[in-house]
Amino acid sequence: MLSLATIGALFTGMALALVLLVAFRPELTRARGGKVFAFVALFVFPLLATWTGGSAQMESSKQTQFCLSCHVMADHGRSLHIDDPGYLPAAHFQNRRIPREQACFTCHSDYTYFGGVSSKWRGLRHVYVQYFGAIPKPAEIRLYSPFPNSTCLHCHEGSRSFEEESAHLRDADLVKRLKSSEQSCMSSGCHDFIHDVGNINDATFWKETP
Amino acid sequence: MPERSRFPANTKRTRTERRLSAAGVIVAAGLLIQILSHLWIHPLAFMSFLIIGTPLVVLGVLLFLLSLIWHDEITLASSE
Repeated sequence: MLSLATIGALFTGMALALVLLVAFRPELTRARGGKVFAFVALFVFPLLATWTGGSAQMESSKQTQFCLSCHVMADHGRSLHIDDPGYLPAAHFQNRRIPREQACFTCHSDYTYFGGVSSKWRGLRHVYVQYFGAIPKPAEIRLYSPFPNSTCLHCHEGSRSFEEESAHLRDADLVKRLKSSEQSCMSSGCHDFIHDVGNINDATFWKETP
Repeated sequence: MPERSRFPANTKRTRTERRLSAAGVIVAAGLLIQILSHLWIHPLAFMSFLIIGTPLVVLGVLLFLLSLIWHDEITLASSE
């Protein structure tokens, strides 16, 4: 099946062929049919191609491969393969609790109406730092704001493994506090092993079987 | 010898046609950058699409629309 990027490229290629025809033969517009053709070629198709291409680019930018293409993120990518279920991203990645091909985006996205767009907006800041700013060391990379519980609860809320987990029920108000974000899921002593790239060289790694 | 084209290449282009041609070249440049950006999954490809390809297409489309307006103004002025 054709990917959205391929469809976008094919459609854009078709639009380009029509545009070039008008660009190099504008005399075509002297006839009534030519005027209609120019409108389709220079207005309808380019805008449709840009919209289709924009959607394809948004999809491409959600891929794990896209996020890890910057060298500074390499250790974060390696942390997905740490052979220890206590590491939150590794456990999610290896057990397919999140789609592996969109691993970064699935957790680092706001599940709101324009969540994808706001994530990409933050991504523009990453690109600025990558090419024009001071690139931090991988272990020094921090989130712009604390990780929201709502991202975890987007999948886990209502699930038996979350609602009936003994550790969650030990304190009568814990689930309530988690749901209202009074307490972070990543509080000390809970799910506090995240990427931990500062110690990644001491870790052992899971090898994915093909 | 039969006529090969309805609009021979040596026909002098009007100002509107030159504007259409320029708009077409700008849109084509933008679309070309958009196509190239689809071939590479990388933040730079995303940025090329966003800050070069798309603005060029929008600029070309605006020039096309403006050329229609300017064309109408000239036609109306000459008919009055």
